[in-house]
Amino acid sequence: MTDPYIRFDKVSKAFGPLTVVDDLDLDIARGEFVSLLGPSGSGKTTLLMLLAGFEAATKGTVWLDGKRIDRLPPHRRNMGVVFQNYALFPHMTAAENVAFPLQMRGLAKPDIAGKVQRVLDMVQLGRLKERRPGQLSGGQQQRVALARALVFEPNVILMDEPLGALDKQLRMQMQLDIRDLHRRLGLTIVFVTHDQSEALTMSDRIAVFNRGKIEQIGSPEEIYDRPHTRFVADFVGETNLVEATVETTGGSEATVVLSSGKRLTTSTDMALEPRQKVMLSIRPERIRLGETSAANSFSGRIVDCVYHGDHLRVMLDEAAGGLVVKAERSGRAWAPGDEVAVSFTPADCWVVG
Amino acid sequence: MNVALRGRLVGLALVAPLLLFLAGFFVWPLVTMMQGAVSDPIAARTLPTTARATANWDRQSPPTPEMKAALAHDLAALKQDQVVGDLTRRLNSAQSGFRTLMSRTMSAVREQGPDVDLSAVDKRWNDIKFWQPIAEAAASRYTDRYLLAALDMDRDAAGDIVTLPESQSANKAILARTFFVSGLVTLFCIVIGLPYAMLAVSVTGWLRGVLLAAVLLPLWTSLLVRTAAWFILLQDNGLINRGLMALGLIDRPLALIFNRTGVVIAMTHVLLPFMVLPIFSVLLAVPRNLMPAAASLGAPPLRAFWRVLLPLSVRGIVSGSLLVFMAAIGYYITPALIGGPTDQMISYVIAFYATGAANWGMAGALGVILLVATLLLYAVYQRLASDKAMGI
Ligand SMILES: Nc1ncnc2c1ncn2[C@@H]1O[C@H](COP(=O)(O)OP(=O)(O)OP(=O)(O)O)[C@@H](O)[C@H]1O
Ligand SMILES: [Mg+2]
Repeated sequence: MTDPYIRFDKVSKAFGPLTVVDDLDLDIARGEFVSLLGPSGSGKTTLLMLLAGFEAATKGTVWLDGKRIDRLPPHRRNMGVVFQNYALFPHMTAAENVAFPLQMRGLAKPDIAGKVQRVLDMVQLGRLKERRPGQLSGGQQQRVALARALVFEPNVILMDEPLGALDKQLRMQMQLDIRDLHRRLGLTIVFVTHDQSEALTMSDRIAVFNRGKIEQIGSPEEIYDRPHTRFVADFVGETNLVEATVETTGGSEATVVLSSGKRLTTSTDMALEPRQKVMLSIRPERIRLGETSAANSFSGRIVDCVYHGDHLRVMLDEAAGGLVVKAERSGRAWAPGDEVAVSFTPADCWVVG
Repeated sequence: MNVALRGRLVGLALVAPLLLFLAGFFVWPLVTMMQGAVSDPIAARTLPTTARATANWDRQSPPTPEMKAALAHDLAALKQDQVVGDLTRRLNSAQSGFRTLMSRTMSAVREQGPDVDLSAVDKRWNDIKFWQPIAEAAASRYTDRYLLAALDMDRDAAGDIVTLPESQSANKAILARTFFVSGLVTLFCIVIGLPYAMLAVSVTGWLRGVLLAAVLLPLWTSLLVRTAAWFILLQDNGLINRGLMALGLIDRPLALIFNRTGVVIAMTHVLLPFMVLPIFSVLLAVPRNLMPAAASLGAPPLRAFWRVLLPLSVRGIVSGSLLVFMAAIGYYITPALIGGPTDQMISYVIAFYATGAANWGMAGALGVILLVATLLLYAVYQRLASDKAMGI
């Protein structure tokens, strides 16, 4: 692998007694879109601030393109930052906001006007450039902030929950827009969010944060389908966590026994020992009801059945492990009390350790 | 009764004490003072016949016998010494010599009755110099002489407005000094107050509390006490001079008191809270991440301050400046105690006319000039502070 573009090397950050970022290593390649995903207070913003230079690391070093930058003041790091609440300058128009970084770099007036117009057109705000932030909607402000971070062609773009304040419709539109920009301009983007679906939609890789550490980093598919820890399985998407004991192991598969005595075939990328206690993660949408085709199948009784618009949520009784199932509405109509066959493949029954 | 009307009546009843208070202790005195600045009823009231007789007089030709007879008639009707005294003082203020002239004439009128020949009593009654003020004063109950005098102007014999020579009055110079000192104090308050407010906003917790208390504390102590404290500090053997000498920075005491320096220092301190607090509250509303944002966009700290934080504090600076400046132009105690004779401000002159010289007309006129200046400033502030001008 070539040298990473951005590298955090054993970085720690403490506020007084509170360690917020804990001995963290993270490499990001040029042109990559990396999301930092994690619960509130897990240190995502802090890591971003360390990269932008607004906070100084207590320990460790930060590198950009082979150069150490942790001693560089923020205004010399050449990183575009989109803040959580945009941080637009309220006394400047949209165009003046976008022109600001160019003025700071001493560009000539006509060049500035041209670049500002181009980038505002790109985010479809060309017509509103004379408005001040107070006269723009949340989504428009967000796009001004994005334009301002893009216009000076920075090395890296850092975004701290930039879509947090938008409604669902606009949010999805902006997600696609940002992803599109990323591809077209080949930008390196570090994107902070605590919305897992946002991270799954947009990223090349996702780093899942928990208490100042990265629990797992990988592609959206890896994170979702093959979580390494119980935390990741639970935080990203919804899952059934079931305790089990290992019986036999063989390659990427293992046989485990549940407390109810049921025997399941699971897949894993860990080296397991017989009699080891493990946790299984079974995604609700991967469980089939009324079929017995898959390797793992047994029967259970439906305890409850909840309507969710696009799907039904079916809760099974203890004999069936208390599993929650997301059932398609086009399938059979289920009702509480029904006896039902439950099945899922070994690939969908994942050992999280 | 209809609910809306009742609600309005209740509302009115609630603000009634305030309205009454304002009417009785603010509007009424203000109107009285402004009236005092332009009212001049004494001659018109006491000399009605003379007023009629002089109405058509061209004020250049010699006084006619009818005018003299009318004046003698009016004076004979004056019974109270108090009124005679007021009239004499009024006339004497326009033309010196009336004091002796009036006392001689009054005794003649009282002895010989209303038909006495004034030219025979005193030949000054043939001089138009003494008739011009009488005609002027008797013609109207209102006058602009106080207002003109407040601006070092007067009307000459022909009734044209002329500027008085510098030796005769100093109101304009004092007014200019008042504005200069107030401007200087405002400037120092900005220079000290802006960084102070920024510091107070940037820290949190008890430190901010301490910083704010340090500016608020002066507001909680009496102005007189604070001024007296500066009096002690600024003396030749006061703390400041002794401290500087002990440090070897100076070998003779600096002249800090009874001069402009002392006045500006003490007034700046006294008025600082009025600058710090508005700026502080404006800065408090500025989002915390604007300065980091400016830095991430490539602005070094000073340019970020200049382009972002300063424009956003302008509203606070303008309100603070207005408060400080308006309070400063009315300052009395501090210049009176700490300033020298050439550092007195307009309030000192007003107080002199009001309490020392019992010249309510002049006191009122100077007050009106001060009020007009203040209102003008406020109008300018309103323009500057409007949302549009601020661009927010
Ligand atoms: N300047 C600071 N001083 C003290 N503690 C801080 C400071 N900034 C952050 N923290 C603490 O560090 C922890 C991590 O904060 P951080 O802002 O990085 O969380 P986050 O992952 O971005 O959370 P969120 O999703 O809520 O934005 C929190 O417990 C927070 O209270
Ligand atoms: Mg955050």
